[in-house]
Amino acid sequence: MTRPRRELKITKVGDKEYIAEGDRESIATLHEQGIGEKVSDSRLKVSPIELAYLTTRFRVVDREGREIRIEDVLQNVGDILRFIVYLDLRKRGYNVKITPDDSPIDILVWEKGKKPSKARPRYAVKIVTEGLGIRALDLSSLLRYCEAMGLQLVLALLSNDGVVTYYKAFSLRDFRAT
Amino acid sequence: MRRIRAVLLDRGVIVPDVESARTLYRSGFYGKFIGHEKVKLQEVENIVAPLQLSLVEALYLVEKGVIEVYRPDGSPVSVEELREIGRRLIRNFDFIYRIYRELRERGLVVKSGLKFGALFAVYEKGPGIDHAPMLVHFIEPDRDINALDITRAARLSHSVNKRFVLATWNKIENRVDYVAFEWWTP
Repeated sequence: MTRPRRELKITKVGDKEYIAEGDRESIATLHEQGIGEKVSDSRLKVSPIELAYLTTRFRVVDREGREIRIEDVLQNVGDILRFIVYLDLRKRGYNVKITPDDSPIDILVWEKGKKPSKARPRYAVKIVTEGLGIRALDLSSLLRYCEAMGLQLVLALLSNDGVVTYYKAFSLRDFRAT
Repeated sequence: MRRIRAVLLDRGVIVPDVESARTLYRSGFYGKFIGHEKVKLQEVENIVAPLQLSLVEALYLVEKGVIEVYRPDGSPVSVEELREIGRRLIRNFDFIYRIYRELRERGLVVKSGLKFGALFAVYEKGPGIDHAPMLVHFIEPDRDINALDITRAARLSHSVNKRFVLATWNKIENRVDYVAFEWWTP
């Protein structure tokens, strides 16, 4: 028999902000995994993308106890592609964070087993789609930016049907034939 | 050092003198011995054949003062003439030459990557010495690098080397941009 999923109660507090309320253990775990900002021991402030992800792990309900499903929140996540890559990396066991909208990268990723509250991120993910490319100039400056920040740039190539393939990108300084 | 004499034969350049051909090949795996494939350094002594140079190699060696190029009638071919011939015969010649020169200046051995489906196959020490070359793919100027460029290059490189390079002309900064890639399974 499967264990009943733990419950999170959601309150919308802003255009793109929600408060997720749950038991202390769940909130502590989520906080360690870099999800949301801790408001109190039982409450986290989360973004729409984080909320959409939480619906895949918890039973998520509103103040009236009505269940919130992923399809109810997807329309608020903004860039669906970012959510797809976010979810893919989370499901692979990485702790990840969506970057602010003005950042040149899309998602920060921690080394497996590293806690965002204690360690620095290792990878910077930039999403590249099948339809649109990235200007050489933009790619070069992105690479320089990541290297200066001590981050490994990863391009997440997203096919039109949502399949993700990852490539690490390096500058020519690392040019070695083998 | 005395410059090696090379001859322009329509679309290619050859070094007819066998001893000069050996010297040039030994000095950085330049060219290809006509009729011989994958010649190792220790085999050079036994090769009796002229060396064929690509236009890119010939231009580089002329610029470095290593060779001089003549027509079959004995008249010299200037650097500019050689460059013009390259532009006429090879699309994006200036960009391709620049990539070749930059990689050579880094001390790398740069050979044609055609048989691997790439522009250049690049070796740290040389073919037959390195385990595998790194493939350099050229993205035409005025084109963005897209997901398909990366996966296509990766596919071609897969059996050769896990890393590959996309090179493209950055017209804003007036330089070649190189980015190396490696497939990552998170």
